[in-house]
Amino acid sequence: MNENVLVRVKDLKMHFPIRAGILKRTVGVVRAVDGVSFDILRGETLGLVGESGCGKTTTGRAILRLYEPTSGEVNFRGNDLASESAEEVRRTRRHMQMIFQDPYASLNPQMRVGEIIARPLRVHKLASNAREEKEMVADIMQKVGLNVNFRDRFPHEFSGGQRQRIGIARALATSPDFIVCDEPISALDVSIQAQIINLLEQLREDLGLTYLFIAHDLSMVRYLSTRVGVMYLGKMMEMSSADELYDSPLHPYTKALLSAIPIPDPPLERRRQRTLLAGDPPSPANPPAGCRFSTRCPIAVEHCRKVEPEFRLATEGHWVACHLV
Amino acid sequence: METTSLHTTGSKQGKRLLEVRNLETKFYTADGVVNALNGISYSVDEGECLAIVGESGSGKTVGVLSILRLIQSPPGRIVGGEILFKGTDLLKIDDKELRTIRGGAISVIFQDPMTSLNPVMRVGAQITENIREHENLTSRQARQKAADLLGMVGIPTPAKRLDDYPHQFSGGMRQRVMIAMALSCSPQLIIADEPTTALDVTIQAQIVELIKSLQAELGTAVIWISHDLGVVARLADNVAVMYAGHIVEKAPVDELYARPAHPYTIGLLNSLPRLDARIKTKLKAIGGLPPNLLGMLQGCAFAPRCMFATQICREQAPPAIEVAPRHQVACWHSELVSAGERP
Amino acid sequence: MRYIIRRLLQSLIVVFGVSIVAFGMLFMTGDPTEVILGDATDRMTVSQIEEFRVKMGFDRPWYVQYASFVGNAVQGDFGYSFIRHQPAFEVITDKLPATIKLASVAFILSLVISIPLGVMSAIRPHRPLDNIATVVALAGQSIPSFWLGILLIMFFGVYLKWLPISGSGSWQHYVMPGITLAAFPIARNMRLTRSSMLDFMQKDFVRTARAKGISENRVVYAHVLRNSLMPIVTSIGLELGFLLGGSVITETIFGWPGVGREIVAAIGSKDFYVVQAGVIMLALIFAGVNLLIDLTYSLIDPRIRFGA
Repeated sequence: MNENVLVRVKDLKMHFPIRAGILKRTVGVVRAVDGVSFDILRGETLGLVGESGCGKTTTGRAILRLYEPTSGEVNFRGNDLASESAEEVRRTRRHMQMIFQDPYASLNPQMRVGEIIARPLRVHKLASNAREEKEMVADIMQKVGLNVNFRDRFPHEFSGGQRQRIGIARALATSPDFIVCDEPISALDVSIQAQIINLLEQLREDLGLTYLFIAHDLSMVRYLSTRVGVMYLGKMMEMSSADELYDSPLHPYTKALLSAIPIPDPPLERRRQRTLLAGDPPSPANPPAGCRFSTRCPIAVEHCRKVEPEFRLATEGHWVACHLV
Repeated sequence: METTSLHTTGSKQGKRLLEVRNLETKFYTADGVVNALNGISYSVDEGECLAIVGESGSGKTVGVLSILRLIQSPPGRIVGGEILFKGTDLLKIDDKELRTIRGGAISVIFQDPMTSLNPVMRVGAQITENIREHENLTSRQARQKAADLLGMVGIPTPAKRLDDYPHQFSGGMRQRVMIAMALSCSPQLIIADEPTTALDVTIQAQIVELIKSLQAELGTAVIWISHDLGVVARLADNVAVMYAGHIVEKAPVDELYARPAHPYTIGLLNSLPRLDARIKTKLKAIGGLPPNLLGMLQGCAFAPRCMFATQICREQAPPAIEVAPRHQVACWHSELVSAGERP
Repeated sequence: MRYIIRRLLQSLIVVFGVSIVAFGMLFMTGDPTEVILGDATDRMTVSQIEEFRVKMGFDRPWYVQYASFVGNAVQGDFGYSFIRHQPAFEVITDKLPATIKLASVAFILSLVISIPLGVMSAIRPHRPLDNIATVVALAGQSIPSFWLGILLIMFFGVYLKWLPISGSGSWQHYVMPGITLAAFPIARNMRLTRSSMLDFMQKDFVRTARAKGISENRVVYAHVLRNSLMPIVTSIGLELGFLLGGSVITETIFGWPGVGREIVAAIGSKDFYVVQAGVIMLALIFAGVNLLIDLTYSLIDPRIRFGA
């Protein structure tokens, strides 16, 4: 494997059974993630976008093995996580962390901030004594812009933005290489979002982190990402460098998604042509045959409804799953 | 594929429809008095789309719900001001008169279509309920009208869907039901309280375009509440920016985006990355936090986060002054700010 | 329809489970021969006891006994009461009408008082009516029924002599036991209605309803009340179960010839088959009531009906 590849995802599938009846028989499966493959390179930020139900969050969680993938491989630094034992995964997890969407729900309200940040240090036995632990916590708090004097406060005493800083501090505690950021700013107010984004960017530069940045805010994803992947109904539709994806998208879904985002520039907005997609995305429990996007695609032909397109390299570094490009 | 370019700014508006003057709303909570609205004034003309922009807690929703006296009371109370709708002060009329306006001349589209429809009532009944309250129609006629409305907002096989319950619709479709309901009695003003915030990007675009085209077709005035400066750029004629229960800036849409004159507006615009921006400069975040509205604030509410702030900002609340035609700003240093001396 | 069949099957499983427990009770207390014969064993010879054991079939393996118990039970044969000298099941069914009549009175009384009062409290919270209702509800929930019953007897029966203090027959006989039985459900359902209504009044869809300009009455009854009914139905359904099972205390105080009093008497006199029949009867009643509750749910909430 290439030296530069930190995470390699190969044909990852994550199916959730739908159970019903008294006996909880499986009556179907939700194909949340249905065979995606991609690499995350050392030091890059890979953006993952798509609408709700497209499987982007599930992909992030399955990579960290918060879910047991149905099939497929997740390689981290050359080791296949799927074949590792629970104990090995636990040890590997030190190097891969997650920042959650909801800073209100993801912090234990009964723990003081200092303890929240110290917990991962203890779990992975990273501090040799209490004094060292205290120093490490203070250091991390400083890094994320939290006042060290607030270490004995509880999460509810902080604002949303500060709570997200606590979440980031907790993720940083074990000095990870790789962080999955799952919609880290969508619960925050506009004026606070930029603060958190700038912090994430600063930390990436200073600590040499690699991010998988999952979000539905396409502008923010472009701003932060080196490369971007677009998911739809459990499949990767397109992936390329951020600028290429936004400036010359190939997949009709990407095009529609980008044209749906209004730009805060009224004269430009008046000139912009919009591609409106009809209807809603189908259910991942019952995806359409052929190309998943064919039911809403403005250019789909008969072939698209029958044969699923392969995720292939269209031009240098630009992957796409569409018969028509 | 559908493209729209219906957009005019400036003076397409007709007569004055709504005029809000010095509206003040407070919430009397166990922790103290929350000053949610501190004397806001704005107006809406016939056919105009006014966007009110602000973050959570800025008072944008309380501001518009106060128009129809829809804020929860207790603890909320409108303590001052006037809301003149075609010359009548909505704060002075009795409940019965108010009810003829609610859902009649003024209707509301709420934020979350998942929770804003009654889960145990068929959608047809929820729409006809509005129609029959305001129009003298038989239940059969009302039902026909409801079906027509569902068709108009783009719901397939509308007559059949009347007997479905809200949970049988997707989020986008539910918001269409809400829109059909809001349109049912040909209102002159629609209040849209973040109608697309809870929806996915492609569905959001559908709803924005739907409301935009319906507005152009029917000539209804719209007050659109949003925190999304992109959506506002797409559909507003005029924009009011709210912060801590005050309107800090008000201008025609092009003017506001091209020449923002309040430090907060500038801060908001600068803190957003643009979808079409290839060059990445560091985002200019607004430091600090929005103020706590519990208790009285002295001076300009934005002063603690403002890089232009001086002594006077901390002591006296700035009055709204006109910096350009129809462009008002409440800032002591607006000249400095709009001269481009951005730190 | 499939839903109803499924729920019926579930009810059957519950009754089956209870039948095992009822059957097991006989063995839990020791050798059933001694339980049934009781003190009579002192006067019997060992061979007489053994003969009785064989006659009753207690010498057979437990599963055979259980099979025959179920076989007999489905035909309505729950054994014979040696005290009443009639089939055990009849002992229970004889008393059932009296219990059902009293239960119906108490149930209807509790419904017509608690729900309207709860609604009124919720519409104007923290106003005089609500405050009075709160105090009454607190009293209703904390006064034990034996004390309330005795108080009523002393005041209306002994002092004013308006109402009969014991027995059944005329409508006057229903008044005091009815009130005694209904007091607790009234108090609880009133509070439940109030809190459920207040809860739903805060919901977004109620604001939507108000924004349509419909009258406050319509907002309350068409939108809030129907949604609020779910938790109330659960509570009143379970109450109906308890009432139909017969209240031991109330029936005892007022000398009401009902099921509750009979079962307690049977326990006291170790009239084992009667207890068994009573327990199974209660299980059937509860299963039936639960089915009723579930069906009511699906009437109220379409999301359940459509399996969403």
